[in-house]
Amino acid sequence: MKTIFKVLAALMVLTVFTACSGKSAATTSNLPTSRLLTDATGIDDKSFNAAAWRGILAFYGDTWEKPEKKGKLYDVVTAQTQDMYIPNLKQASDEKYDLVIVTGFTWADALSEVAPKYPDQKYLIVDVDWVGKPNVMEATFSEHEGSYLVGVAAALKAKTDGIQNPKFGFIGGVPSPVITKFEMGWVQGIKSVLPDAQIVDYYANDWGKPELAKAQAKNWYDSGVYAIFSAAGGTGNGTIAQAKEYRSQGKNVWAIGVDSDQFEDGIYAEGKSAVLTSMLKRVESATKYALEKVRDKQFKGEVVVFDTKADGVGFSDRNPELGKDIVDEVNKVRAKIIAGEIKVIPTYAEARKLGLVPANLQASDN
Amino acid sequence: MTFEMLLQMFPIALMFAAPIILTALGGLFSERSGIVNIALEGIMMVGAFTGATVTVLLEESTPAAAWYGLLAGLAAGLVFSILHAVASINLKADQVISGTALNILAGGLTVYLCQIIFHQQRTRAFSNGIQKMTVPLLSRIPVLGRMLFIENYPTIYIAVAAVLLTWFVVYKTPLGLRMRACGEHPQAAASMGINVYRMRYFGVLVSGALGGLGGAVMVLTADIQYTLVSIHGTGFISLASLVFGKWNPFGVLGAGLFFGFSTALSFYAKDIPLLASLPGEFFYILPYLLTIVALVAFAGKSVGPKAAGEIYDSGKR
Repeated sequence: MKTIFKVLAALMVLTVFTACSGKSAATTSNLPTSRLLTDATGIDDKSFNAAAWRGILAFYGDTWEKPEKKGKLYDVVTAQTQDMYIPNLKQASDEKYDLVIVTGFTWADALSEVAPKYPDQKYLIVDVDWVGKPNVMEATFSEHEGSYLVGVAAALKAKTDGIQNPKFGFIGGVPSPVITKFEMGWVQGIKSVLPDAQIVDYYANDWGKPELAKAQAKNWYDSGVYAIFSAAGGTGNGTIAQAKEYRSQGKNVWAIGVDSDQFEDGIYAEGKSAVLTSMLKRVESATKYALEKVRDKQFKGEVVVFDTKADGVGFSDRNPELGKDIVDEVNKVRAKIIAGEIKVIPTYAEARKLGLVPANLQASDN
Repeated sequence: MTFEMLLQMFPIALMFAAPIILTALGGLFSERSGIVNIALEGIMMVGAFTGATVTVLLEESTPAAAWYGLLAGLAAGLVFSILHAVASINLKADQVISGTALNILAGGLTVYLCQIIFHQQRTRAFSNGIQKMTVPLLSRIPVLGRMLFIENYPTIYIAVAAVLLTWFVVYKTPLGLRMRACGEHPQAAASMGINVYRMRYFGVLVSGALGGLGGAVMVLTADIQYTLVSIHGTGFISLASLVFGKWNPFGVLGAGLFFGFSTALSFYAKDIPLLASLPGEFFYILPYLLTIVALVAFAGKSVGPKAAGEIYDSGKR
């Protein structure tokens, strides 16, 4: 796979071109200027970067189809390879954008190196909380809370359908504390409805092997698992593929989407989707928030947590088969999380100590 | 381990095996004709992209969209492999370099085309890939029917048919004999009036077609869309299967099934008392480990085509 990135490196020349053209960031309006720097997947990944971009568009009052102020007030540069991270950051800083936005933890090291060299430049990094520089705002998300909500939704659906002894599965990509947050939330959500529900989990150790998730999903669905939540990037596609296959054969099993609403990925027949609900992570909240802070001159180097209350995480109610009763019920749980009546534990060690999750999971806290 | 579990394992193992077998057979044609084809990975990517795209675009108008996807993948792989054929046969480029170039090109090209067609860096998700099927009559055979003919992807039947056809063409027809001669000693073949260039073109183009089909099979049975990582090294695993299967169609079938079953086994191992204590990674390593063992065991014994990888020089003796 790495070879592919090499050819993309050849396109770097193009990136440099794009970067140069945005130089004259006009400052005629009182809105701040900004540049989004993304990893190689770019802004149309239908997920993380796309969401960051939507937040920027919303702030400037533009739409995806008509980014009218792009090139005047804001723009985006895609780093095709990781060795472009530092040059891209420096260039954006040299050009004095009011805010430079980077997405994803892969940028953390580059930003830690560049940020101290430009003390007056403001930066936002998403999904990271360990850079700790006075000119860097860091946004993290309470993925465990969003995962709790989809766990509740799946368990309620199993209950409504009258499934005897339903089991639930979790498929992770590479084990890490962030993915553990997804798993812990999911399990606690299920257990809050069905305390005796059996949980199984699997880590593919890869973000891009859907056939592994598909094989695991088949194995689980065959053994009585009702719903599987995957937080595994492209690997998770396999779960959806298997759920589609089984649902179109009339089996009552579900996949749960992650990060963005995966309803459409799960469509197997007219209006029917195998994705019951999706855990939503609204990265757009973070970019919009940071831009507003810059505009209002309240920008600080701090860690901002986007939780349920800040509408940073949530669940999708787009699948009609979820039903109004369940949606209402989950919204009640959501309100309780916002009010602080329900606390979702993000780490495995603590959740296990409190007896909220089984002891045989493969989740990792470090 | 219950017998039921073994039965459940079959469709999964065969799903893993089918694209590997098809692509490795492609490699067999190419190498038997004397051209090393490490571009199989890239060819699979092009086949997978085309297969997924055609399925997405046709699925509203025909229920057989995924089958057209397979055909399109086959055709796209064939066309893409022409580049390798021209570079390594006519232009006498180093075959490994030309293959590598194709692998690199495939990633950029497919993502670029996704961008143009779907305005994103992957294809849109198709609703239904290749569906599992039950073969009438044969499914009533006790045990064997359950394993092979109930609820399996038909792609494995295509793969097995391709094995038989390959065996017939390579070992039982004059065409196959001539092709093999070009892979062993092209100058000797030429002295008997065989057109070495034409034979090698045949080998490379067939390998492109089978590799493209393998890629399309993979994306349409295991994924919901084509992405840059849909193939993730399966082309290279197919090359390993070719070596492990000693450049023989039935060996390739065995190697492909072996890869398929050892991957599938990792999901069922925890329910098998004897294997439960082994870490899951063990089963991922197993096929690669055995390939290395096989390579070492065959070292010195030239089991592969002798002239594979050599640039054809008609003046050489």
